[in-house]
Amino acid sequence: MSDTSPIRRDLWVTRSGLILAMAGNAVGLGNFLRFPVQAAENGGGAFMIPYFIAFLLIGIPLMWTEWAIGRYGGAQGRGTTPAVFGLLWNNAFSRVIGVFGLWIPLVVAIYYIYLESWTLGYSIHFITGTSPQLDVGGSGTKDYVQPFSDFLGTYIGAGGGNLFSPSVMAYCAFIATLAINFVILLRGISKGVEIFAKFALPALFIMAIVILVRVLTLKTPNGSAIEGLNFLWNPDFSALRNPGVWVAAAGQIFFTLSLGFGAIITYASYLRSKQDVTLSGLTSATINETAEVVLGGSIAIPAAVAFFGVAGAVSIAKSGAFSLGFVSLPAIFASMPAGQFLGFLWFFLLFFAGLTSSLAIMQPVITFFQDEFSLSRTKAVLTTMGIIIVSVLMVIFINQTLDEWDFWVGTIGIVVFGLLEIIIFMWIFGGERAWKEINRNGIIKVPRIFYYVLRYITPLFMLVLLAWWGVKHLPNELEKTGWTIWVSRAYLILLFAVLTVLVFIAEKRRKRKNNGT
Amino acid sequence: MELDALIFMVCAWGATLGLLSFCVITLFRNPQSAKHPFESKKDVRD
Repeated sequence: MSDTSPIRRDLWVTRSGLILAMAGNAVGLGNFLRFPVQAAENGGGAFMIPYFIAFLLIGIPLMWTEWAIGRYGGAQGRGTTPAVFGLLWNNAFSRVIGVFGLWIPLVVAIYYIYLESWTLGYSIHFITGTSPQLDVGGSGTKDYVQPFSDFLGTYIGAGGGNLFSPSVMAYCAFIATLAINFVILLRGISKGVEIFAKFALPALFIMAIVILVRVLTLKTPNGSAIEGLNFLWNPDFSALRNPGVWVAAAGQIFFTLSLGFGAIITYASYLRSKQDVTLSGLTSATINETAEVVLGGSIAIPAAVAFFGVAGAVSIAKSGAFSLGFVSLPAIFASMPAGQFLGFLWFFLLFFAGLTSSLAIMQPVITFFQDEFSLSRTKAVLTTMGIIIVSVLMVIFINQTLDEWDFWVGTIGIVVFGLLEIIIFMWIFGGERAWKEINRNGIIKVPRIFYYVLRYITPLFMLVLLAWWGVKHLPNELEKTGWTIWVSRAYLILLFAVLTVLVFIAEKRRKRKNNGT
Repeated sequence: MELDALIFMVCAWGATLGLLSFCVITLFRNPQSAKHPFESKKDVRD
């Protein structure tokens, strides 16, 4: 296909910038909150066995797939999945599948930016001393964290009804978060995202190491951080007989590497066509694993055990990653010496982790407007931001929207899309062609065994993952009722329909241009 | 810290940091990296 893109596409300038931006896409709130909860609930140290197997059989293969698909499309001036899938499989259906690669990052960006803004708001509350003062007379874990549970309720304006009424800080932090994202995105890939990633990722690691050192030296009458590490890493081998543990590990790998979002494909489309994807992809995935396994696993749960003992930490882990991050850990930091600063550092760390991810998940839609409608960077960013600002009102004000969107898009959607993209690449585009494309100009040669992994094992693993979730979660999900549920689902369908129409308008436009009419 | 937990933690950290070291060393030893090929913008599409 001839390159008809009238806009000069930006490119990554340095390999380090590219790898750090890709790693920044993957390093997010999940590394520091979701991973420790999953490990604690699914066999402790034994969880790492299925986790590393899933990393080898799903994570790395799919990472190489997405990098290779992106580079292939970018070489032809196309950076979003509807267009790139059209190059891999010239069929209208492939473009509809490709719409998922715009819809998923857009929907996730809408609620993720709001969550990201909470971390900024909380960091401001901590540094200004306006976070809750603890009631030290509380008799148990629940009493201890209650002020922060109430604080979160006030922050997001949850009054128990269907509609939220957020605090002034929630609005201010959200506007500031949007503005920061806007400024970086406006500067483009090489001058905005790349430069920011080169500063943000090292800063994020430094902040995490400072917190880690403080946490590992914690000791209270209830326990110590070392006991926390003991609790987190002590292997329960009986857990390996539970298929749910294997599914949890595979799911965690999917989330943590940001696979199936379309963002990696879009970022990779800004590679030079002769650039390596094998070692660069592996490096970015490994940086993410370091943030998760070494840092993420050593902060939240060990701190919880040090303050509440093992029993308290178990009940905290069961309450989920969200409660751990915004209720329990703030309470822990608030009660430490220099807790105001540590709490600020913790939330600022989460803010940076969120920011590097939100920049990536907004990129596919921005690139779509640039590549397919020839919009300038400014207009593309403004249009994308406009859609997000209108849509985020649903998340801010309507109860259950965030959970609903996260289930259908951020949980089920990404695995469905990951499965479809690997089928298109390895089966329809062709296994051997795909294999050559992955290895083209590779600094390391991928062992041939991964050809079979990519073709058979990775899709099978994802099918099992989907089937398990379908059986376990879908019946409960479909039983949900209430107008808020249906409005949030209807909005998802509306967004998908609008994006599909735009994709086909863009395709017609491109065909007209190619025909010179 | 119990021995089992310590072994699992050291293995997980070791595997992760070992893989990261391999990636970084290989990247630096790659002759392309030394020449900073990506500073060139010759093949930017117009």
